[in-house]
Amino acid sequence: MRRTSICIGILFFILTDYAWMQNTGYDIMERALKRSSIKTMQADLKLVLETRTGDTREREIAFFSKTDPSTDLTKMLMKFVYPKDVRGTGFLTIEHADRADDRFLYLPALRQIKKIASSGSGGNFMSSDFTYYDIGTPELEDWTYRLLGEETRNRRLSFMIEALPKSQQVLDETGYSKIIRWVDQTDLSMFHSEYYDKSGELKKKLDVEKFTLINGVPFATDMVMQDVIIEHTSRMTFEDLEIDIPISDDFFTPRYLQREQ
Amino acid sequence: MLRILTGGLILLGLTFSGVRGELDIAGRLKTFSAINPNDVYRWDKLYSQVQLNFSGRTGDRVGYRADFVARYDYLSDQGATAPRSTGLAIYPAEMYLDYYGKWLDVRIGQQYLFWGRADWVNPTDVFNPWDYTNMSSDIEDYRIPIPAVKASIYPVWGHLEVIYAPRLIPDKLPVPFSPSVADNRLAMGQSGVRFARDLSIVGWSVYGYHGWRKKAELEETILTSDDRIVQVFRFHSLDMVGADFIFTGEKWAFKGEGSFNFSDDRSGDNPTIINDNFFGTFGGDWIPNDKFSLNLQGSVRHYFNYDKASESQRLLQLNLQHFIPVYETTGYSVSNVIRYKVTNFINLQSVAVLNLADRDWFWLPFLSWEMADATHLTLGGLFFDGPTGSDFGNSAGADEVFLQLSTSF
Repeated sequence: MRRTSICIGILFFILTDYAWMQNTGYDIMERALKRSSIKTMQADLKLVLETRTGDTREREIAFFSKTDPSTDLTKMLMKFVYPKDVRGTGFLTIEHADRADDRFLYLPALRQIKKIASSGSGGNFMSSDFTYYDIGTPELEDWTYRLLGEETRNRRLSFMIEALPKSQQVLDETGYSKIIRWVDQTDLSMFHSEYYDKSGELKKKLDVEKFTLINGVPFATDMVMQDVIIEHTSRMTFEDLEIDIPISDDFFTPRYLQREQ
Repeated sequence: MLRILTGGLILLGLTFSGVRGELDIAGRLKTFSAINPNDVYRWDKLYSQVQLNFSGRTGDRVGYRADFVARYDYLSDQGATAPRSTGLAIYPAEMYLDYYGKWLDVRIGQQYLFWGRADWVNPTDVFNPWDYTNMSSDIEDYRIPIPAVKASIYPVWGHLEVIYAPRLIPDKLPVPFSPSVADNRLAMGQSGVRFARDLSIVGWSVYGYHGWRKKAELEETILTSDDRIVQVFRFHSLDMVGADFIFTGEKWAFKGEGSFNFSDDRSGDNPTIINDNFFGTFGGDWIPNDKFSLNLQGSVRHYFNYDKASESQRLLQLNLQHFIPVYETTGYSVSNVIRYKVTNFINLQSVAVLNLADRDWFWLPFLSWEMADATHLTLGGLFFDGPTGSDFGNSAGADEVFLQLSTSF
């Protein structure tokens, strides 16, 4: 089943069309999401995980993705670079429109590629506070939107948009009963979001701390997700980000997962 | 010869790629200590080892990897698993060259070759021997790499793997089950072929293998003129055809694997040689959330042309009844792997296998704490039991409680 397009959708929420005065929450979200037209992406992704006691661990991942514009389906390949004990671990996800994603894991210790359960979009991304859903492009039609009002936050005049899951399936897959997004009225970038769990409690907060202009489009390249229940935070940063570079389809196959370098 | 040739080629690769700045050096430092609660010498293992990995590429077509292990064992031969090498030992682990073609990849050299999609019980996993004297939470400790050539061919409709290993390297068993064998293992090659395809939510493979059992079988006992009993062991051939599959969903996976194994004793008349048999396993993974996963498998082994009563009678006639176990015609076993993430940086894992026929079992629980990036402290236990001659009964008494500290760099 197609759920999320995993080409780092949180990077895309920018609009240059300022005819927002008559917008509903749906209109704003629709325009924001339609900006996401990236075909390929390559980046060094860094994750810093921090517990409530201040204990931190770092992860560094070589990240590649490719989206078919005709189907909006994405292939993603990741290789762990750091820490060194998991270096070479590879992870390949291939989205499908009509069934669960294919997921392949290469564990260097086993010298073997394993086809694994897709585990759903609500699963945590690399043990961080980001889920696969959080880092994917949200499916516009999976949610109903309501404009809650305006608020100045971080010195940015913004819309507050509430998103509610349209179906039980969306609720089950994402684990979110509600998401509230703060959208900048100037450029419609989504710089803050709050995620509520199935019981309606505030679960996580996302802050985008840095946008980087690449090929004329601003991307969120530094963001912090905080789990307010277990008081755990994850910072995700993108370095050496390149978009729409040629990457062969052959690269997104299990064969390439096991190559040493 | 193959090892020397590969080593030479890798050294050449290291030299050239080092000059061109493509050489990558990594490593792992580990200290392992274990006590054996059943042994009069409680300190069973205490060693430190450093593993250095050299890898890189020369151009787009050729890659290489060479791992060297230097281990210093602090204990003299005294534990249940003695004799082990003591003092300093330096040896290569994996050492191979890779060629990457358009539709063909070739790996030549000392390498791991793991077959099968099931977990822990793999009927088709016949190439790499086991080191039962060095069981730990690291697969590189308890599996032994072998010199081999592997060609992986990638047509659009699947993946074909062809393997040739020129010599037999047997399982390493605790004394007194590691006999010296007179067979010329250099002339005992192994070869295999595997075709795999992942189609939609189903992945499957078929296998063929011609080679040898990794455990020598007792052939006869001889009473010498000076009243010593000499046991004669011999390796026997193994031909295997097998298949596996995996069927994946959102939070689960079903998997199965089976093999028909053909031995030297096709008629089933020779009690010292294992009979032809079928070995199959079926089970699945359940992953309800990110913290917990459960793997459960059931396995069956059925011997053909086998009669337990007549087998016992023949062993009695050969005076081998105390040395060779008599199996049930059909034996069952169960295994499970449980993984639980206690916190973000602490993981608990338990692996257990129970053979129902012989009641022999193996259990490996361990707790691993990621103390810092790439640094782990692991506390675990390793327990065996079962009748002599059974798979895990051979290691009964070699139980361990271990503590391991490792860091990668």
